[in-house]
Amino acid sequence: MQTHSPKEITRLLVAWGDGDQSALEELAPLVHAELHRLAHHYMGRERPGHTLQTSALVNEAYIRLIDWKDVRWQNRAHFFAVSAQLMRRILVDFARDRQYLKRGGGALQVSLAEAAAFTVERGTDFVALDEALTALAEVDPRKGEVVEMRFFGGLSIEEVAEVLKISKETVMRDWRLAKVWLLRELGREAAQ
Amino acid sequence: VKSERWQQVERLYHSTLEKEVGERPAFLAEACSGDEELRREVESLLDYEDQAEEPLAKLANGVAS
Repeated sequence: MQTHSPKEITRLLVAWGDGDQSALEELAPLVHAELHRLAHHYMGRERPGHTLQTSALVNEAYIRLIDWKDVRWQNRAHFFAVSAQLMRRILVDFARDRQYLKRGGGALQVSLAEAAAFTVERGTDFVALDEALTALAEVDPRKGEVVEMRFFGGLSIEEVAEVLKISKETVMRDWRLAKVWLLRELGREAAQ
Repeated sequence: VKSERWQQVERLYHSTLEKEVGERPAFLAEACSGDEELRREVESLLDYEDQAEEPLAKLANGVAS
């Protein structure tokens, strides 16, 4: 397997932050591989009451992959943003693989209260959450992105604002409405 | 692309939240001026305000329990 040095990965991250979309295409699979490895390592432990902070996991990937001395906080925000997207897919695939599909199968405990403190416990219905989030993105794509970043990547309000190039106030409003929208959607799904 | 209707819901949701809890129903009813569908839509979102701090899984798993 081809290996990539932190320097090389850092260069891709900075280039993407400067607007080079092809850099993102190169970067994403590398980050995905690392996140996938970390996620499976942690989630495979199968301890009862096992929790996983996705933001901690993304942070670990960041430390391993990126030469932090060479980046600005804006670059870090971008790294977390792409990681959030990848993380969502990893967790949903994981949930499907493990046949956590069945509603209420005691699967994932997810708190929307604070994304930074987002923990994954056995029992969370990631599949339902993923579906609700996809529905939200159809109504309002930006809110879908805000939730993805906050929820799966643990990005702060400020970091989301930087990545999406919108004000912090707008992020806060988006986040607030998106949360209740998702809760309502999940309530409806559950009621079916 | 956001629909005009959704933007309407969004604006009204945030402006209703700025009101005191007790004033919200009257404010909302007046702002909707007879548009019941709009009122119900905003109301149904406001209903979840209290729960936004609760774990999502409670809802997601609520049905099975």
